[in-house]
Amino acid sequence: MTKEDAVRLARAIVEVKERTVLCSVCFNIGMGERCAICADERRDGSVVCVVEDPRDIVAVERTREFRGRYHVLGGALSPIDGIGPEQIRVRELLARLEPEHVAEVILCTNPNLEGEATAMYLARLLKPLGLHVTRIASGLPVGGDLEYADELTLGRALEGRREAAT
Amino acid sequence: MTLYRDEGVVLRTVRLGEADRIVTLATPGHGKVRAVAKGVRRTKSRIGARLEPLSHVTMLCWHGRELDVVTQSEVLGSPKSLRGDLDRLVPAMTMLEIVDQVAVERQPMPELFAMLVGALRTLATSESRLVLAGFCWKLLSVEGVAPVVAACARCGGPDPLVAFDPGEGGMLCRACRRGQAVAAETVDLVRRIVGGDLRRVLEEGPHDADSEVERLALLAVERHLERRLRTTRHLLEAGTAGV
Repeated sequence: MTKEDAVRLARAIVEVKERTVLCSVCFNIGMGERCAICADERRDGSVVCVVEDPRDIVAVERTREFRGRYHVLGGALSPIDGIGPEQIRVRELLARLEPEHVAEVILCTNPNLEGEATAMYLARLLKPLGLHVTRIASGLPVGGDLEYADELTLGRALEGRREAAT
Repeated sequence: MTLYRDEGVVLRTVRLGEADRIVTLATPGHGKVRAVAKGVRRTKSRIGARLEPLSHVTMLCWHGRELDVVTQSEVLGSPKSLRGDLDRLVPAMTMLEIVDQVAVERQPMPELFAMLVGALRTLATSESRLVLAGFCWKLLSVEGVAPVVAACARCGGPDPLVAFDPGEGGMLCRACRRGQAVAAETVDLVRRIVGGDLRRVLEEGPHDADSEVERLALLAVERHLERRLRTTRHLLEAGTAGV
């Protein structure tokens, strides 16, 4: 690495530390009090996608399928590691629902045990409030061969099968 | 490095680096095993889904100095009803936490392993609330600290036993009572569980004393482990109705 590149990299790191903050609404990483997604008036505020980490927002945004807003929990329930509901941003999610007139919450936590436990916990909390609570589907990666799929993922894909399109 | 094959139940996982995990397993032949599972966080990993907590697997591992390395794994059981139901998942995770605490690395534990597999299987199908309690009382017996329930743990006096104190090691009579006051049905249920009648207790359906038996079992286990159980504190006691 040349000296100029090293200096540029160092400046970039300093700039990131100085200019990025957590959005006060959804806790995504942003440059101001509200992140670009929360500040965008064209986004549908009635649908909130709940994710574990800001990096998950980047992944969902890449799909270009979702036009709602996000909520970053900052982790998933993992009691064995001492992470309970108080350690993730559940309270902040509940506080957003009424003022923002949220009608649907999409639980987009990781498809592992902690993510599933978090999703079930949130569903139990949110459904009595009359919200439409959905969970992302899980199944096979596009472009992969069925014979290489593991039995658990394939089982989930079969479980969540849908009517074939014609 | 030597290669070995064993069964295991995944107790917990921790992220390692970019796409790996350290998986902690309870195995019958090698005790508690901590092994690196490479690349399992990638969606294309074939063994990632198999090495989730609660999965009962067979695996092929390399012995390492500190951490082993999982190279292959096949699923023997991964009950869907445990993962898809919070009321079953919380006791299941509590069992994993307890085994994680009592199991010792590289020390075979066939009895404890069989108990864990059996308890998880029962939890997946049974409607009884006493599966976790049964597991805890049985575990204390396996650990050599079975509660004294036949007579007063302090003076050896006969019934009625009216209290439970984990510090004293069991139930206490009216003269010696201290700790938690308990109902007669609780004493009877704990006696039957410890005495080998667990299967029938679970088949009987709900008892009035179920929650007390569970509470005492967790109290006794916490006393034995000398620490609070995190799973119960976070999810059972906080309740799932609100935070």
